[in-house]
Amino acid sequence: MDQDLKAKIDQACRTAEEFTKLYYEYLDKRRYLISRMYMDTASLMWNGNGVAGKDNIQKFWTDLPSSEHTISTLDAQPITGPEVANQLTFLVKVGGQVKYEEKNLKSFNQTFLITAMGDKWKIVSDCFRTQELLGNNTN
Amino acid sequence: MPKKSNKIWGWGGRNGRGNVPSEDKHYFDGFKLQVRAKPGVPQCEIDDKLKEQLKQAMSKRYVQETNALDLSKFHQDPDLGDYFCALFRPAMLMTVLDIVSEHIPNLEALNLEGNKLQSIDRLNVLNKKFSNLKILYISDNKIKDIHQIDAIKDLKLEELKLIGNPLCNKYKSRQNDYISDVRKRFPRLLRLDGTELPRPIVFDVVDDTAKIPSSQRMFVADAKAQEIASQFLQQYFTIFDSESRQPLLDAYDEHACFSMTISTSHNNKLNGYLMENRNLFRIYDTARRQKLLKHGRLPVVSFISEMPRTRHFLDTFTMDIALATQVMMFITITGYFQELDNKEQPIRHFNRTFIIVPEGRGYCIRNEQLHISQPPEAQLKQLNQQLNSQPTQPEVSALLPQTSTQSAKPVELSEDIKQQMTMTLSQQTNMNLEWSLKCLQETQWNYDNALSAFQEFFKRGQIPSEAFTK
Repeated sequence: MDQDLKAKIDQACRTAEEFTKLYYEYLDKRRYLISRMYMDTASLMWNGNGVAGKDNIQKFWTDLPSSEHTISTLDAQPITGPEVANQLTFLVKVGGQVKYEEKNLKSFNQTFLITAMGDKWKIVSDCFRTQELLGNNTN
Repeated sequence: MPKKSNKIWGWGGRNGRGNVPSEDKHYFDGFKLQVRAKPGVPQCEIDDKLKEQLKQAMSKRYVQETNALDLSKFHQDPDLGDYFCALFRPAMLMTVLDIVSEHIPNLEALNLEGNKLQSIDRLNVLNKKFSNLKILYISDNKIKDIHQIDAIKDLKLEELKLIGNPLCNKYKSRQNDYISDVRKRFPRLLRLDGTELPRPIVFDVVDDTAKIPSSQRMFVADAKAQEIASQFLQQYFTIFDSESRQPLLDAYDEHACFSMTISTSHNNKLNGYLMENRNLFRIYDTARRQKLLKHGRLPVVSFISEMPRTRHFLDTFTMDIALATQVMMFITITGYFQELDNKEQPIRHFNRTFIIVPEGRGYCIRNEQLHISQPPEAQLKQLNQQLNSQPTQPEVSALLPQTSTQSAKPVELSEDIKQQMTMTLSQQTNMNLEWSLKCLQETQWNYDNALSAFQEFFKRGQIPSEAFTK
C-alpha cells in the first residue's frame, strides 16, 4: 500500500469521526441548520424517498419528527481513481439506532458520500435506511 | 368408616382436572364421599386444532362493514364446544389477539365486554398490533383501578366503554373526574360509555405521527441507472451465492476497497465476523485501520471467498441509487440473507454500498462497504412467514430481474487477472513466478486453493528449492 493511499485512509477515518459527531448533533439538536452540511446539489434518500437539492433536504428534515440517534458503528474509505483524482471524496457508513418522538427504537444505517469543497466538507449524497422487512406488496 | 375420596365434577370430562371453587360432602351408601376442588379454571391446551376452532368462532363475530370484532363473553361461545376459552387467561388472550392481528391487522373496533378481565396489562400489545383501532369496549370486566388502563393509553381511541368495571364505582358521584381521568389517557376520545363527550379543544399543532413518510422499496434517480445497477447486482449476487466467489474478480476494480462493520448489540451471534469488524469507534490504531481495509482486487475477492456461503433473499431487497453520473454510481442495497455453512443456518440483515465505475464495456466496483447485523426475533418471524407463503415459486425479485438461468458457470479469467494472481501468489509465498503459475494452473485458478496447496506442501517440505530461486 503506497504512502499516499495510507494518508488518505487516515484522513478518511479522522474526517468521518468528526463528521458523524457534528452531523448527528445537528440532526438531533439543531436541525434547522442541517442543510449547511450538504452541497447545493446534494441528494438525500430516506427509506426510499428521494429528495434533491439543499433547500428541499432542509425542508424534509424539518418536517420529520424530532429524533434521537445513537451511533454504534462507523466505517470510512477514501474514493480513489482517476474520476475523482483532484477531488478528495470519502465514503462513510454509520450504524446505530434511532428514536422519533417517544416511539420505539429502530436500527438504521446511513451512508454518506462527502467531499471537500474549498476548506469545507460537504455531503454529496446521503442514504438513510432503517432495518425493516417491507411487505411483498410494497413497491 | 372408610373414607373414600372421589371426583365427581369435570369440565366435559376433557382432561380430568375438575375444578370447582367449593367443597362439598355427600353421604352415599354409608360411605363418606368427599369432594375437593382447587380454585382455578379448567385448562385447555392451545394446539392447532383449537386455533382452527377459534378462527371459526371469531369469523362469525367479525363484521366487515364496520371492521369490528365482537369478542364479548367469548368463553360462552357455542361454537367453541367443549373448550373453555377464557380471555382472562393471558395465554388464551394472546393466542386470540395473534390470530386477529394476522387476519385483520387494520381492525378498527374491538369488543371485549364481559370477559372477566382483571388485568389488562396484556392489552398493551393492541397498539402495536392494531394501529387503526379506534373503538374499544372493555365494559363489564373486573378492572379495579383507573391506572390499569395506562396499559392501553397509546391507542388513538375515539370511543371507549368502561362501564360495569369496579373502577367506575369509585367515581359514583364524581362523573366529571371520571371523564377527566379517562380523557387524560385518551385525549382524542369522543364517546365514553355511550355518551358523547364535549369536543376537546386542542392546540393547533401538526400531527407528528402522520409526518413520517412510509418506506419505499426503491429509489432510483434515472431509469438507465436502474437498468445498469439491476443487471450488475443480479450477476453479483448470483455469483456471491454460488459455490465459488472467484469469478467476482471480474466485478472488482484493480484498486477496489472493501471493508465491513458488524452490529454487536444482539448477543454475540455474529462472533464469526468480529475479527474483521472495522468499526472506527473500536479500532483506534492507524495500522489496524489500514489493514482492515481490503485494498486491491485479489485481497478483496479472497476475503469475500472466505466468508460463509450464503443465500440472499432477493425478495427482501431494497435499492437506492443516488448520484448516477458518467463516472460513478452510488448504490445501496439492504436485505436479508442466510448463512449456509453452519448448522443453524442463521439469517442476517445487511446494508451494503457499492460505488461502481465504468470499465471497458461494463462496470466494476471501486468501493464497497458492508454492514451486517442480527435481525430481531420479530423480523425473523415475519420473514419466515413471507418465505413460507410462496414456497413453490423460485425467488424472483422485482429489483433484480432474473435475466436467464444463470447457473454458476465457470468464468474464464482474463490474462491480465491471471498474471496479477501469479504475481500476488509469488509475493505471498516467495515462490518464483514460474512455480506460482504452475501452482495456480493446477488448482484451476482458484487463488485460495492455490495458497492452501502451497502451505500444505511447504509444511511437508515437499517444495523443491528451485521453486524459490528467482
